[in-house]
Formats: sequence, C-alpha cells, structure tokens
Amino acid sequence: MNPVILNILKRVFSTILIFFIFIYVTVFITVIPKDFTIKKVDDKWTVTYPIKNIVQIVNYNLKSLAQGEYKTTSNGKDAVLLIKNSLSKSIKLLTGGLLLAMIIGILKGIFDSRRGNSRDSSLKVLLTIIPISLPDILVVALLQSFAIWLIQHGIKIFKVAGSGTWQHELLPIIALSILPAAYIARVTAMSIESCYDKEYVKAAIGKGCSSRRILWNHVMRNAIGIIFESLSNITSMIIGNMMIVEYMFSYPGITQLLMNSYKSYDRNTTIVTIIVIGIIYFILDTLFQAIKHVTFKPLKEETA
Amino acid sequence: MIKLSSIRKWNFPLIIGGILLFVLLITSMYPEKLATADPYGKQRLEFQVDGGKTTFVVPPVPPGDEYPWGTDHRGRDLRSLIIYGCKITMITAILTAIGRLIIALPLAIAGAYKNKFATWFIKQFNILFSAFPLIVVVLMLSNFALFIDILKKDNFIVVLLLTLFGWSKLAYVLMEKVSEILEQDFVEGEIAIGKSRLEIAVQNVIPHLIPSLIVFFFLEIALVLQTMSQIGIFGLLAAGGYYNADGDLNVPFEFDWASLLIFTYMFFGTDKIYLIIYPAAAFAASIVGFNLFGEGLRIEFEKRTSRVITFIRRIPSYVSPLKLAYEIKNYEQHKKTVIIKLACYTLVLGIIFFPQPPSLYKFDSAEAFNTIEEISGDKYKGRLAGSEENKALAEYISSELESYGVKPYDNKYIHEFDILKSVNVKASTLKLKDSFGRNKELIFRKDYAVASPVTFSGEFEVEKVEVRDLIELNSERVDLLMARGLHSKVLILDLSVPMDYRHMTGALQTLAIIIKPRALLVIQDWGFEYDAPKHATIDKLFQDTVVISMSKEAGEELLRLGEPTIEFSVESETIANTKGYNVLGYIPGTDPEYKDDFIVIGSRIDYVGDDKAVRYPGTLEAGSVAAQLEIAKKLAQSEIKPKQNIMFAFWDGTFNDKRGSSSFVSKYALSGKIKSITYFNIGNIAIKEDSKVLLDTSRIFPKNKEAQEYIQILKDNARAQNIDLQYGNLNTPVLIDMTSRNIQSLMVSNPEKEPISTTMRDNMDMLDKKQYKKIGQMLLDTIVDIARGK
Repeated sequence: MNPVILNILKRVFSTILIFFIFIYVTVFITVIPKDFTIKKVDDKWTVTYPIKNIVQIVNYNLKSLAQGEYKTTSNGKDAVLLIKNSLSKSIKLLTGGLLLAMIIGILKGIFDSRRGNSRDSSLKVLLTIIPISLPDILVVALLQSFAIWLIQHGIKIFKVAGSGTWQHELLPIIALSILPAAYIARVTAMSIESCYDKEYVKAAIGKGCSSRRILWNHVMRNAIGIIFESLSNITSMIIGNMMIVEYMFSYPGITQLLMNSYKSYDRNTTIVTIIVIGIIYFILDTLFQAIKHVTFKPLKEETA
Repeated sequence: MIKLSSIRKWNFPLIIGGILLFVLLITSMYPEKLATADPYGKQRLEFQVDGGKTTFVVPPVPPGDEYPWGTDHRGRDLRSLIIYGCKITMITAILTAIGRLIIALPLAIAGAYKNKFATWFIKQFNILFSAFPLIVVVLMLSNFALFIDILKKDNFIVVLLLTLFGWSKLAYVLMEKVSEILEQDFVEGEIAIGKSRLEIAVQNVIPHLIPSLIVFFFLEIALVLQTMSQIGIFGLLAAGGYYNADGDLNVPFEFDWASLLIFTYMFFGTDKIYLIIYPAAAFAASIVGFNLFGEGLRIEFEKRTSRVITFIRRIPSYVSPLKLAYEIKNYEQHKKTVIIKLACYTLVLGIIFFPQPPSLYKFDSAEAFNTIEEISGDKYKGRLAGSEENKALAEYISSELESYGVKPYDNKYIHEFDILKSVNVKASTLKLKDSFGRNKELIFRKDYAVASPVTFSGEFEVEKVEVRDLIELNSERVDLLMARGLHSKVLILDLSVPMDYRHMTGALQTLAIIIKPRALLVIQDWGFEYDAPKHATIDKLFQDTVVISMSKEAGEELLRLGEPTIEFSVESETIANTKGYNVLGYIPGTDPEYKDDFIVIGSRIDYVGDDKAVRYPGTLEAGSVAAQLEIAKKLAQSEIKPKQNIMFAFWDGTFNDKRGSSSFVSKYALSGKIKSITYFNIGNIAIKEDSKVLLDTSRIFPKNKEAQEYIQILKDNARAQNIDLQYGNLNTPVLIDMTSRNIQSLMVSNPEKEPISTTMRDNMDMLDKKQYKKIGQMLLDTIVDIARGK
C-alpha cells in the first residue's frame, strides 16, 4: 500500500482509538463513586466498592450513551437542544477569539522581533513573557472593570454579562484572544528571528532589498508555517480559557453548560458536554495540523 | 558611571524574575512582618459616625484608608490574606512541578531512546488530557474519598491531581530536549567506548539536561500557578476548610490564593471586582516572576561566557564542611576564604540558634496547681452558678486578688447579678423492659442524657410518634392527635435520621406546646466514646416535660424492642431567683488618654455542679482561673505600669440565661463607662490528649492596630514557648456577649475532638502539667509585654 495512505490510515485509526479511550475515561471519572476508598476491615484492606461493580456501572453508562439515552437533562430539558444552542455560541466565541488572536499576535510578533537587528537587549523578552504570564481571570476582571468604567461614563459599547447581542460577545471575544495572541506573538517573533539568520535573508539584504520586502516576501512566507504549527499547541489553552471567559461573563456556551450540569449533579449532561468539548479539541487540533501541512513548505535544500 | 551599552547587556528577565521570587520567598517566610493584620480577623457590620453622618460598614469593604486592598465578603483583610496565603500557594505549585518532573523525566528519556511505548504513552496522554479540561478533572476528583484518606490534606490532593494529569506536556518538551542531546557527537563517542544506554542517560544526558531542567522547573511552576488560579475560580479549595452551621468557613492554619477566588463569582461584573483583581494580581506577579526567572536562566545558560553553571557546580564544594576543615588546616593559603566562610557559618547558625530572651517573670505552675486543686476540690461541689458554694468561690478569688494588690473595680471585687434559675440534673436511672420480661439498663450520660431538669420517676408504656404526624397541622389533624391520648403517655421521637431542620423543630414544638406528653424520649444522632457533656443536655423548650435524649445506638436498641415498658427516674436540683457573682479586679493604667480603655482578661468560675454520686471537678476549667490569678499576681507585684487599665474578670453564670458577662457588658460597656475593651478569653487549656492550642482571632477587626499587635505578641510568645498554635472558630456565651457590643475579643483554648469540658473526664488526670506551664508562661509573657507597651 502507498506509504502516504498507510500513514494517514494509521493516524485516523490512532485518533479513533484515542477518542474512544477519551470517552471511556470521561465516563469513568464522572461515574466512579466519590466515596470509593480502601479501608482496613478485620485487619484486611478492602475496597468500599468492588472494582467489578464500578466497571459494570461504567459499561452500563457507555451503553446508554451509545443508545442515545442521554437526551434529557436531570430537570427534564431537551439536552440536545441545550447543547446545540450553547455549542453554536461557543463556536462563535472561539472563531472570533482565534481570528483576533492571530491578527493581534502576528502583528505584535513582528513588532517584538529584532528583525535582524543585533543590537538588542533582553528587555524585549519582558514584552513577550509578561503578557503570557497574565492569568486569564486577571485579564477578564480588568476587562470587566474597564467596561464598567465605560458604562459609568456613558459609553455603552460593551455588555458585561450574558448573551444575545453582539455587544455581549465583544468582551468575551477580546478576553479569549489576549492570551493566545501573546503566545502567537512570541512564536512569531521567535520564528522571524530564526528566519533572519538564514542565508537567503542575508542574500536578500545583500541584494539591497527593502526591509519591508525582506519581511513580507522572504521572512513571513517562511515564518508563517512555524506560526501555524504552533497553533495546535494553543488548542488546549484556548479551551481552558474559554471555560474562564464563559463562566466570568455568564456567557451561555458549552463550557458554562458543563459547569452548570456538573454543579447540579446532572451526570448524563456532564458526560455528553465533556465529550462535545473533546470533539471541539480534536477538530481544532486536526484543523491546525492540516493548515500546518498546507502552509509549511520546507526549503528546497531541506527536501533534497 | 554605568554605560548604557553595558545596561543593554544585563539579563533583565533574570534580574526582575529574581527580585520577584525573592519577594515571594520573604513573603512566604515572614508573613507576619509584612501583613498589618492577622488574616482571620473579620470586620463585622459597624456603624460609623463622622461629622454627624452615620454610615454602615458592611463587608466586603472596598479599598480605602482602613483597608488598602479592601476586605472580602466575610470582612477579612484582603492584603493580609494574600500575604499569608503566599506560602501554601508556592508550596503547592513547587511540589506539583517537582512531581511532574519526577514522572516526566524517565518517560522523556525512554521516549528519546525511541522506546515506542514511552513515546506513544506521552503523546496519547497529552492528547487525552488536552481534550479533557484539566480544571474539570481536578474538580471532579478533588473530593474523592480515596485521595482524602491517603493524603489527608486538601493541598496535597491538589498537588497529586495536578501532577497526575498534567505531566505530559513537560514530558513532551523534555523528550525533544533529550533527543537533541542524544544527537550530539560526544554521545556517539560514549557509545563507541561501550557505555550502556543507562550509563549514558545517567552520566551524560542528565548532567547536560540540568540547565534545561532548571529552566523547565521554573516555567512549570508558573504553569501550575496559572492552573491553580483557574481552579480557584471554579471553587476548589486547595488548603481545605469546611462550612459550619453559620455558613462560616472554618479554615486551617494556612490557606492559599486559589481559595480567595472561590466566592468571587458573586461579584463578577460588579464594582466589587477588586475581590478578584488582587488575588489574580498576586497570581500574575508570581507567574511573571517564575517565567522571567526561567527565561533569564535560559538566556544565561545559552551564553557562551556564562559562569552560572560553573557557579552552580561550585556550590556543594563551597559549602562543604570537609573542605572548610581542609582550608582551616591550611589556613595560611586560604586565609581570606576561611574568614568569609566562618563569618557566614556563624551568621547562619546564629540566626537558627539565636537564644530567645528569657521571660521577665516566671509563671509559678506549682502555685497554679494549688489553686486548681482548691477550686476543683470537694469544697465548691462542682461550682454550680447561684449556689452558696459559688459565692464562697467568688470570695476566695476576691481575697486572692486583694492579697496580690489588684484593685477592686468600681470599688468592689464581687459584682452581683440576678440569676432566674440554676439547674442541675443530679441522677437518673432508665430500664427498658420488653414483653418477655427481659430487662436492659441504660447508662446515664453514656446511653442517654436528661434534657430537662424535672424530678420524676415511674414505670410507663411508650409509643412511637412520627415527625410527619407532628408537622403542618390544621385543627382537624390536631384533633386526631389529641384523640390518640398521647398526652398521658411517654413518647418516642426518632430525630437521628437526616431531616429538614424546620421539620425537626416543628415536631418538637407540637409536642411541647400542644401535646405535652408525660415524658419524651428523643433519639438523636450522638454517641460519645466516654460520656455526654453535662451542659449540652439542658433543653429550654420543655419546661415541665421530662425529655430524655438517647444516643443513636441506645435508640436503635429501644426501637428493636418495639414499644417496651420503661422504668426511669430523674433527680434534679433547681435554685430559683438566685444571684451570680462576677469577680472584677484591675491594675490601673497610667496614661490619662487611656483612662477609659481596658484590656480585659477573662475566664469562667462557674461549672455544672456535681452529680449525686459523681464528682465534676472541672479541673481544666479551673486551670484557666488559676492561670489568670497567677498572671494577676505577677503583674500586680511587678514594677510594670501599664498605660491602659488591665482588668481580670472571673465570670459567673456562664451556663445560665442571664450571664455574668452580659451583665458586665450592659452595666459598663453599653453605658459608656468603659469606652474601649480588648478582651482575652482563656478557655480550658493543656489537655493531655492534644498539645495544640487553638486561637480564635476572628472577632478582632483587622483595622484595629492595637489588638492586632496583641495577637502578634501572643504568636511570638507561643513560638518562644514552642507551642503549636492553631487557628479555629471557638464559641462561648461570653464571647457572644462581647461580640454583640463590638468589643474586640480573642480566645485561647484547647481543641476538643472528643468533648471533655463538662464531662466527668475533666479532672486532674486530664491536665498536661508540662504543657500547662508553657501555656501559662505564654499568657503571662503576652500580658506583661502588652502592659510594658512592647
């Protein structure tokens, strides 16, 4: 068989396998009795629940899940509709956040990079490290304070909590984009700097190309592949951020649904929501990997 | 003059990161030096009158002059909380990073050696727990009983979960780094000379990996802190704690920043957003610190001229005592080094073993034990408030105070107050008889307790009533109940099963007000290893009905017998319309500015009275009175002239409705005769079973600088006496009286896991004499230091 096809098949099989493990682990963690422990009874260590029973419970839940029995929430609402609505809101948030993160991140990365200038101090490292180090809760809290300040001064562009209008979505999108933007900026700056060390850039400088032409025609065309490659690393980060953003802005997205169902002991909806979030992760990861393969074109000398 | 070009060469990330980490280290080590207040003190609701304008201070208090970073919704000073929370936050993050390194390193090395399983495992684990948000995993498993049983402490559970589910990303980057090392030429050389893989890993890979490991370690700590901030907002309490019935958080000695974020969800998008911003900023500063330090180290390690690695390598040899011994032997050659090293060693050892200044006055424990024996002896018959014996005890204490030279307060030592009724259930028997004539005698205060002080005896048939029959009544249902003739029977009511509190009180009210049975046997969810506390059994609801509270175990036995006959008797003593006797003495202050300000040290003199055949000596309780007398003696006979008045208060009637402490508060504090009171309550101290001492400072306002200084003095003296001081919530009626008048109160007592107070176990055998001496010395030193204005 064609080795390329074989490789693809291997990857698909591996992804499917890991996805099933993911579902099993999700159900296992969700349904395992919280009072499970090992106790000494009559000088013998015994488990409070037989492992066999736990496995049976997990299998039973998996079976119910496969048979599509998790269609209603514990309070009788339509779980499918609920997930559909919250998922569409989260996708809107994710798309907006990612696009904004890429625009801000790449521009900031270009600004932060030395662009061949060897006379630079480590001060610039601060510019990239500090934004990455900000906890998302601080970012959201500061944004909320800013929005409240604006509202108090009669400027009502942002709405601080809830959903329904574009004004509700502005702040969550901005909040969601800041940390990934800082990360993308760092990767962009590093990849630009590494490109400036390459011979072909030195040759272009020698030819007398303008710095703008060198940046966009020589450096960025090669750096963009590395930037897209790094995107797959921020997938889990952005999902974690989404949890904070949706929670703090009371934005009714999928992670908010997860926390609500978890807090209201709605086990079935919790399981389904975690799986949906997992699917988002797998799709985003595959998407970024695909973009990486499309955009990353190794230099001729490297392929030779 | 430093040139600009040389400044540009400075490693700013390392410098700034190092400064931030140094600040974190100092904050973790010496929080009390940086925080202005104890972290557990609470600002309560307060009326402030300023220029004729009255304002309410309601927590959370926004940042201002009194509280620069504001208070949380419980009124605790946010700045102090953050400073004190630094230590456990850092420990949790550092332990997690170490745990992750321990798991990641061997797997990364195996993966770099192309071990298929290791590579597969790292990759798949990474994917799996990237798809399953780490926050959710940690939240779901944090209350898992197995982890709680094994690890006990909540912050260790957080460490375990963050380690177990978060190591894979670190393993991934480490694997890449190890692969880079393995591709280097010298590794080929090592292979050529016949070294095994393990030898290469240990002798070559790891030494070359150390700089990267150090860098990754710091970056990983930053990553853990980032996750902790996220977990905190979703309500995971890394440092543990639980809610008591008042909805208050019982916190352990220390707590962390993540816990501060738990209740902030109430304030998202409001003007109280500072409650999130300050803890989040603390997280941000520490994450920036660790990230910058890690990056700075990376820059430093990558420099060709870097001397950091050489410096690190030299550390063991520099601090080695063997090398120092060699250098001393060859002193002439190493003169300068020896002097520097000896100076450093002396400084470090001096700091560690710096002798504590001796106490100015010795706490005479022998004298105190004599007093304890006197007070807890037969003479005062268990010190029942309102009894003649207690009057005699008050006279004894006042004569002692007089002999020390302590002045009477308000021209008298003994301050009388009215006690409506003082009761003592002295004896009881209870026998169960089933239909086959078999008998089972229950043990008084072990299987059952008498909850109402009525003298009563006889043999009765019993009938069980259900809670559901006694609640949500209308006239029809009341008639049905009355038709059952319950008022002439002895009833059983099972309250041992979990139920709505309102249903429970509703059922009891129906029985007390409407049915009024001959007697009531209430099965409750209690059971003590030894015996039930005597004071807790007095029920205020039933005045004329005998109420028997049965332990769960005894109750189950009763229910198993169906509806047996019971034979029981109760013998009670009631002293009506009597008097209580507070004893108040004081050492006058010398500063006219503080003439109406008092520091009051208090303990209680009354107890629960002896049973007919069993003595209740109340030795531990007597210990607090004896300690207080000893402090009063030492202070009165010293040369110390305190600036404010120091009062020694001995409260009577503390188990009664009208208490001595409430009488004092009404007469002196509420009337304005005393303007300001800082109150120290001494509870029962020095229990043999537990060497810890519990300190409750939650009733002290964080903004009250003087009281906060007193707390600090107490902590310093506890450290000097090597006493394990712990924080906790303590409640006594005296403190409730004080708190209701905004008096700043703190309490020192023993933690009682199994009740000892007001049980017959509270006797001389239970007193840890060595510990008592230490605690007595701590209290004496504290009062002396305060009086001296330290």
